[in-house]
Amino acid sequence: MKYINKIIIGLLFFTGLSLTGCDSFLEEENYTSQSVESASAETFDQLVAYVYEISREYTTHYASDLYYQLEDLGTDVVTRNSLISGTSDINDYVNFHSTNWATGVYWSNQYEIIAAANTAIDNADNIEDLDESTKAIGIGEAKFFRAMAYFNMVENYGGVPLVLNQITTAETNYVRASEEEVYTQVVQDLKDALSSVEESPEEYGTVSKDAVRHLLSKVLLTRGYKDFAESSDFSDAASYAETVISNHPLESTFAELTDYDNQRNDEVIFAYLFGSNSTSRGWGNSKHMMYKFRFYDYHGLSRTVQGLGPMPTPFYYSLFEDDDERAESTFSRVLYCTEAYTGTINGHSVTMAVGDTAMYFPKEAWSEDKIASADYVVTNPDDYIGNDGITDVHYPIFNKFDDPDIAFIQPDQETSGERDMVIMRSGEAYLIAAEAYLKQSNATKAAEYLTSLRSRAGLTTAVNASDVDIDFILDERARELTGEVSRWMDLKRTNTLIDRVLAHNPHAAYNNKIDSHHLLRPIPQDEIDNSGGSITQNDGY
Amino acid sequence: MLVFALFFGISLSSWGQTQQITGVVFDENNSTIPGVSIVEKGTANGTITDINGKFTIRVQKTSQFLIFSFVGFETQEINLDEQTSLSVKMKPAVIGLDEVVAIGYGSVKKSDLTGSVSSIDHRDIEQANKVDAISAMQGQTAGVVVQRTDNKPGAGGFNIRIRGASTINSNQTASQGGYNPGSNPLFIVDGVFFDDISFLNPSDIESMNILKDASATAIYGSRGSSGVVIIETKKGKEGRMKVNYSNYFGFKQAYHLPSIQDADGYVQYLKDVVVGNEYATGNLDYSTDDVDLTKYLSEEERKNIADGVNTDWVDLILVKGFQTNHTINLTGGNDKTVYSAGLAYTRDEGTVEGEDFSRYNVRGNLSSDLTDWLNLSVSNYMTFAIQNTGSWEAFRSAYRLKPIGRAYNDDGSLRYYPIAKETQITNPLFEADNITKETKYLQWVGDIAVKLTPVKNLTITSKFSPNIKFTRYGEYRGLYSKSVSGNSENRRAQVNNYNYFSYTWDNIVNYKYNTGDHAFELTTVMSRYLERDEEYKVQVRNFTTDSYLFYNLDAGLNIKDVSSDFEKQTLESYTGRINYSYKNKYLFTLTGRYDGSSILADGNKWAFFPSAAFAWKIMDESFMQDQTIFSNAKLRLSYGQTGSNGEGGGLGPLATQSLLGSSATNINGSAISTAYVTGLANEDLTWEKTTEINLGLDFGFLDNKIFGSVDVYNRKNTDIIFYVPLPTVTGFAGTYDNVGESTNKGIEISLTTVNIDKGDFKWTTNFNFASNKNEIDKLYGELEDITYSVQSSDLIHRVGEAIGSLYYYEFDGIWQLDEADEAAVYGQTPGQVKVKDLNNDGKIDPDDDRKVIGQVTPKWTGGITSTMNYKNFDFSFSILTSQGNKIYSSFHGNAFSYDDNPSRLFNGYDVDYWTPDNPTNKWYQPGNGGSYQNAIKYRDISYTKIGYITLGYKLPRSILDRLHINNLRVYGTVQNPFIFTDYDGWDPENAGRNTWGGAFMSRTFLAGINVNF
Repeated sequence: MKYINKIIIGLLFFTGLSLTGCDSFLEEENYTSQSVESASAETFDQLVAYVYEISREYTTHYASDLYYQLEDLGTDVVTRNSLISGTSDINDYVNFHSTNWATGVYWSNQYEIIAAANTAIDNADNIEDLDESTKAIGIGEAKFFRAMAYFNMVENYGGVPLVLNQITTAETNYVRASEEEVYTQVVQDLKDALSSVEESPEEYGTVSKDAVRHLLSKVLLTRGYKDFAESSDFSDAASYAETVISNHPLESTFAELTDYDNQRNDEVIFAYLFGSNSTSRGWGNSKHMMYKFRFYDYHGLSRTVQGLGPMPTPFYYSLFEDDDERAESTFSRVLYCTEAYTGTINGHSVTMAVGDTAMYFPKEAWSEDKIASADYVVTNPDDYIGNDGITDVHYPIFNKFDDPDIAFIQPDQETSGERDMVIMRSGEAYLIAAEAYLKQSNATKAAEYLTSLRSRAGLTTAVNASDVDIDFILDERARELTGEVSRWMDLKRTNTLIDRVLAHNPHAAYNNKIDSHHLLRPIPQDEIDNSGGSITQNDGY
Repeated sequence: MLVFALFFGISLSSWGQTQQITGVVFDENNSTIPGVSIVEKGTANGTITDINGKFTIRVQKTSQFLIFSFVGFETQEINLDEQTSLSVKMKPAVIGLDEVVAIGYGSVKKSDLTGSVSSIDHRDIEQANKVDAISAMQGQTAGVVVQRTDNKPGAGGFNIRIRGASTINSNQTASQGGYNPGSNPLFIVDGVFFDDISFLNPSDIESMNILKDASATAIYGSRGSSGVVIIETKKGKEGRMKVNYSNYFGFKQAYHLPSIQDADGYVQYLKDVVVGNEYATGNLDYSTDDVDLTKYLSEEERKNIADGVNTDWVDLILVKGFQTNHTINLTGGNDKTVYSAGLAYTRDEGTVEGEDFSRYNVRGNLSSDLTDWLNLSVSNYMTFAIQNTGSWEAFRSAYRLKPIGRAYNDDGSLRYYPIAKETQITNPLFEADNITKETKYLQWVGDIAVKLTPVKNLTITSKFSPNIKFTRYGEYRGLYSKSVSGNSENRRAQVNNYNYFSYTWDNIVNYKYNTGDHAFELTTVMSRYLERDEEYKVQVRNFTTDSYLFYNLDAGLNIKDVSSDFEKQTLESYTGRINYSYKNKYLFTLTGRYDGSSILADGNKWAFFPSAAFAWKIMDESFMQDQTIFSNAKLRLSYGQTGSNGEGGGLGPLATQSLLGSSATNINGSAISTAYVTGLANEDLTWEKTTEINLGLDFGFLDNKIFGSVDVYNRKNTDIIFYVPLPTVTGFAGTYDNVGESTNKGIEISLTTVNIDKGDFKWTTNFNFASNKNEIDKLYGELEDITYSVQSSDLIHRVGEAIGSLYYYEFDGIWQLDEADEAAVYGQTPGQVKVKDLNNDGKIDPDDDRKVIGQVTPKWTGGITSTMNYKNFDFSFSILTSQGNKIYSSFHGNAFSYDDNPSRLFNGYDVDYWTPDNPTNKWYQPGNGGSYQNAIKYRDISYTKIGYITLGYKLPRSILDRLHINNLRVYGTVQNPFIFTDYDGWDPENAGRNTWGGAFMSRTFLAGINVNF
């Protein structure tokens, strides 16, 4: 081959390779997500469904290993599960700083719900082929969740930045609205939702007008206490609650209400659904793990279910009268063996078979002799906190939310609970109505609602109007609703948080540090830093 | 006429005065060397050795000397001394100035380098004799800091930092390894890009060249900002077939174990905890005499104590791991074709049962000149590896379990719960039989290259190099593993399949031009890189038996997770480099690279990275000829820019776009698809840039008895790609943006000394030292601080401080009994950890009393390798050191677990802790650490480790000749035999890693042979 030919071939070869270069080589390829521009009517349904999903997820847990820290902990009915020494931030209100993890996570969770709602609302108009009724219902549902998130925010943190549109560019300059402005927005969203969602939607688990009414009644009841309340707040709260009550009759007994096989009963107004499909179940309901100590460290008991951490206070257990049927359907005083054991208990040898009593928590204290002769572990009411050689806390465990077929799972892993999580039921509507009437100085009407609710629990003696005060209602709320609704928000609303915590939360009382600045949580430090200081801290933090 | 006659006569007489000299040339291993150049001194007369290392040359009878030279060896003059048959032994060139250094798309002689490049050649790697390629780099060169993050065999957990961290990030870069800011360098094995080189058998490596400064890495533009490690595997060499076989066998032993309590110690510790709990509440009158053990110990535990149960759980789980390697390599060829092929097997077992790693390597390459203008080469490197990590719980459980628990039942069978009431921590001896965590991968790396030489000095090369890796991870958790805890519903099988494909396609034009004093070399490259990942995961739970492991997923009743993923990214670049030298004294290199990356925002995908470097061979100047102090002197100066597309900061494909992701929820009992916005788009996101100036001096003194180099550098990073947090009010945690600036300044020194070179004895030592100072110059906006936490270490990005600065309260001892009143001011009691009240305002608060208390990156690092040869014996050792860093130690963090709950108290750290009778400042009172106890858990992790100590013996020629073997060496070595450190946890190198999945530091005793035929 001639020399020149080699050069030509070589150069052609190289040029050919070089020319294949073009920008398409650097285009990104995507099989894992869709573009926003291609949104269709179906996408709108998905955006709305996501608001349901994320609201459910952040209710069942805040983050892996972080559950319900801001609902019941640090109140009169729930405390930390440890000896009465040392300190804690959320429960004991000691060294409670802006860097607290749980309050930071809760804040961003609620804003993610708000952002999801805003995305659905804002995109509704951009999506073609969306029929008007679907659009109206979807926007109404989104606004319901947005209102619920802002209600949680304003009660926990005070006035917070009001973000009502989808954010598409990186902005940082947010400022806090006043509490009153947030309430105005919450009420407005709920009124919009009330006019657009269906009275009784076909699909179970979606937002109905009664769900909106129930939340609205609670929001108005709460605003009624504030200095910017509107004069009709208590009466409106009562009236919405009464509508809900009339549409949702109570189950005949408390046992039926909490029966695993009777989850979708008339009393339920709104619930998050989980189910057995692992794809749509998400993290799973975690409430079956609530308020359980390490009972499986005792002989005869196996690891059937994990507990989450906090424990009910001794005060909580003292609230139940002997014939209050709610006690038995809420917690267990007897734990039965799930495995055989032969060995020593109370200093004598015992043989336990599956089904025998393994632990017992008498309502009235047993004598030392009586305990010593028992073939199982007995814990008196005064000994719920204190070392017994096996655990440091031990108390009747909750059974109200039991999900018996779910395996023992560590708290940082998907809980997989399949049971519906009831968020609103008319049992609470009775209590909202009672409180709203009491605040309108109508104790008689309040007593009527309380009597009805209590008689369902087997307490048939009518409540005397003169006995009804806020403490009565709060005690009743504790018996009826502990674990279901935020106790902290109830106490804050009724201005009883500090007194009740100091009176009944043993750890917080031991440290004796709670004061009025704790009526608001600290604004997360990251939010202050990342907003360049435009978001300001609450007083005292 | 007379003149003519005279001349003719002399010529004739000269011709008549020649003689023939024959001989053979050997290397230091007594292998013959082909191609050695032999010149009659003072003439142009010369020859080279043939394939068998033999030569014949006719020289003047008056000639006294022959000069022997060959790349990689010292040039030597041999005095003929009337001999006509010579046996010449070449000594390897220690200084290696003639060695060829890979610099990316080409190579230069070391003496012609303009940038900062460190080399590790196969001799260093063979001498280090490590199981994996990265360990072989550790401590070998200045400024290359290798942190082993995982002690399990076969785990690729390493952090490698070349000249410190540049990018700001808070993501962990090696799985579970403890925080180390910055990113690993780019590895290039035979021209192919890699993030990890654990697939390589170290014996297959010919050389590792580490490109450090920006002029050296500029040829890799976008990917070079964290340094580049160019690895060449062994290639064929002209000559008869040579066979090299090496092996080793040995065992591994855990050492440097932290001390924990035995049974008696535990009971005392428990009592001290109870007292501590009382002290915590302010009750200083309580003493160990008041402790009622029945409140904290069950009837079973008290009986065990009475029975003298004293279980050493750590000792029970320890085993001696076996380690072996066999490598066989063949190489040879003729003047047209060279080939190389090899096989290797490596087995490395851990110090806990169930931990093992097996690797099989097959490789082969062939290069042939098909015509005088066309060369074709093909190479293949195949690795099949199986890694079992064993249980991730056994190690941790052994430290948690009480020594008063029983490992065995009375009948000798294993007890699942060593104490009935402790249902969290199960007997670790069950783990090996109940846990399978097996990763298998098959990786094939190959290339096909065509090289054209259309005219002299011009080469055009097109090289296509695919890299294909199929990985399967299989996990099974049996009934009696800790996480299943005897609950069959939690039996878990998981299978993850990954398939990875990437290719690099380089088209390289190289042209050399020499005219008189001027020499040019021009290289242009067009390169494309594509990387594509697929991932499939399935997890199923609830099996009725353990017998299927993960091979029968359909037998599980609960499908937990089914997912798949796809990722792709591409890079395209156009590069040019000109090397110019004048009189071979003044060397210039200019490099420019135009780079495009798919993962950056549209419109910002492309960037240009220039660099320039200059070197001056001072030694070759005439004024240096008369002095005798310097034997080498070369000055190097470089300036350059490189870039990063943000992968080190966590940017991945699609991350600059705002897209709709999908998930699902349950409405009305049905699965409903949901859609959410994945993130905020940043359409302005562009390249992160690194600009670096490097000044280096290569020197040699006293006839090169001392030689080395010093480099100083200043590296500035700008437009750092960082996930900037936003107020979550937006609904997003943050977005990627170009923010911030940082600087690394440092000095690197390498020094080789020939301490003794007399007769049969030679002793040489290599030292290297590097110190790097890192500083953040700017964050975003007006922000001065970003605080963050990684693995319990509280950290801060603060302007003026190093990336990876620890930010916490300053430890100030333990509150003593006579300080009770002062302690009370701070709400503390005697026995607790005291921290400094920096602003003296009578309270400790996070804003005013936290400060930078150290950094996680070492302040300086160094290494020493020393070799002594005496006759046929060789003795060598290496030392590496890392100084001046701290981290939140996982061991110390878990030292007193559950000391607020004496009923559950885990076993504890056997340390000289505070009690009312022992007023020490070393460690706090058990059960009474106080709010700032973490301050004592930030530990200095400086260490000095001995890398290896090796003694070898080469069999003498007389025996070898009879066996027809070129060379045979037997040796014994201890790998990682000793550590010198104040750190009393496990391994200071990975003190920050989670104890879950931890493994012991170990030493290995090995013996082996190297044979050449």
